[in-house]
Amino acid sequence: MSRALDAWFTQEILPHEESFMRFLARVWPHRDEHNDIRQEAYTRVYEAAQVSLPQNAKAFLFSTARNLMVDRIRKERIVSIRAAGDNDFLEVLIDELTPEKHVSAGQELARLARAYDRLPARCREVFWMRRVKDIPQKEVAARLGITEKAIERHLAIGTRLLAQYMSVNALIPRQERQPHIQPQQQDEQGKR
Amino acid sequence: MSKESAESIEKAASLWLVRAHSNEWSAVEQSALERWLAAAVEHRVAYLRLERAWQQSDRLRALGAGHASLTPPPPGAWTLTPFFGESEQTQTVARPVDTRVAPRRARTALALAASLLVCVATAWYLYPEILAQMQGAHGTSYSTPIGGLAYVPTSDGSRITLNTNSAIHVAMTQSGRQIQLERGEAFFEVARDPSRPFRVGAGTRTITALGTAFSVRRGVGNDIQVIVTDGTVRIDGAEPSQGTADSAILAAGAVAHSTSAGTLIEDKPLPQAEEQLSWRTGMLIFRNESLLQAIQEFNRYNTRQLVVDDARIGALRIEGNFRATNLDGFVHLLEAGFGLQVEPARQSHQSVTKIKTVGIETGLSSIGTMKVSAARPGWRPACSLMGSPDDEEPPHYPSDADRADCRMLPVIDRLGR
Repeated sequence: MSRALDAWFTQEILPHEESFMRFLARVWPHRDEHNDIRQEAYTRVYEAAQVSLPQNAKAFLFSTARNLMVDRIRKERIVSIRAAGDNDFLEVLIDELTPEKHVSAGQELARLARAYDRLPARCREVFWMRRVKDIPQKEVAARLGITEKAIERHLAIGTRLLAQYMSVNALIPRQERQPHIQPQQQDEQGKR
Repeated sequence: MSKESAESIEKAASLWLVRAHSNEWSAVEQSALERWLAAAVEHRVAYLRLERAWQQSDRLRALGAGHASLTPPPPGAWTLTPFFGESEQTQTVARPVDTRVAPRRARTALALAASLLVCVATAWYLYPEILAQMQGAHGTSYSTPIGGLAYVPTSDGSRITLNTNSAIHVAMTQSGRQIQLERGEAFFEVARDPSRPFRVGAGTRTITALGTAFSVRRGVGNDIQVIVTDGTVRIDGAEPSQGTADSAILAAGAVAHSTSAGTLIEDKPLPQAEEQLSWRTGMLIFRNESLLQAIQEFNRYNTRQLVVDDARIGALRIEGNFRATNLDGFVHLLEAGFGLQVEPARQSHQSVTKIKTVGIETGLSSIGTMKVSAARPGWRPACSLMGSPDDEEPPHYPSDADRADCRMLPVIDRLGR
């Protein structure tokens, strides 16, 4: 049951992330909250889907987000004029419902290439060896003279950044990009 | 509900994910992961989201095809296959077409082109008659080898991109710009200059443009194909005196096929027309085309030629994106995806690779029903099988969802695992 639900979520909800984030950028002025809202909306959608699958997944995602934004506005009593008064905010479904699935494979590949090119250099290198050249983790670690743990951290931060870059054009704030990469520097020097 | 921040959940999820995909992953760790996922829906959705990104990064292999090096190409250098760097001609500058994807190389090429332009412009100003003699009377020839792709900046600010095994002759005068497409295919981005018409001769026909982007490809004899992506062009027969019957105006999105019998014009949506020009980035894109057509395309780009000895195989339908010079990847796909056998031909002096029919006896019917199923959510099969045209029934797929997935494309290199 949960496997099937996972598959549904991956196929029906996640592909809309790019237009979903564009929508958030337009209606929710607090940029630092976008990821939290996304996470919360995903959670609510998944929870609801455990009970019954919504008919129109994309519409459901957007209306869920809208509801939780309304909740936030009420609870926190921060009335954002833009969010509360904007027609856009209430009528989100009209222009946001362009069919995502028909993005051509070429465009998808180009988007992936752009996202990949924005990764930090070491991350790019590690991804290349692991994901493109399929070199075992141990060997990658040996070649780059860093620990396997460090390889894992590069892959982890790289995956997060790829997910981000493929859905949002804005850069992740610098300080968030660095800390994961920083600790490895020592291993790298130590081994060389 | 726990009050973990989205960010800390995401960090934890990314580490789980990476470890789960490492070479050492035990059943104990798996059950620990399951517990973590079950602990909160927040965990699960964060994990699924990153897993999708991880799976999408699989497709980097498609970009990596043809890049042999263990280190990645510099950012933006994707459109250049190693082949393009090997240009034997000195007068051409290879260049990627999509400047967004390849800013660095493009900038170098542009700088080169710009400095060339300055030189030419200066020379034009100082010694007009010398240049007229140099260019007007004789012009300059450019050519590419098989598998090559070259960029030719011209003195008027136009840009010409030459496809594989192509040759042009460029003659610039003060009254006109005359290009002769001697063989192959070229894409023209024409700088606007109404006083000097830009004409491309190909066989018996002439294509005239003003401030336009279009391609011309020569086929057998005097057959040509013209694709327009911007502005309009006019295509004329050899003797204008014969009347206007053989003359046609093409707008953006038009694909014209001219033979001795006349000109057939298809008006396509622009993205579709541009797809046919994917060679400018080194890629071939097939949409529901026959294997024979696909092989003919590949043969244009490679000295090793593929031969099909059975019409039934040639009629198989194929979809996908391929790097034009990645013949091995394509052959591998044929073997793995279609159950075909590909063998080197006996005559060793001719580098002919033959696609044989072995295995197809049981194959033809089973090819139609062969399952290209999705192994994991988000997984894309390497190719789609459209069934052969003489199959009465459409190919059978496990489910509608998988069928939709099968129509999506490529990643031939996945099969190389």
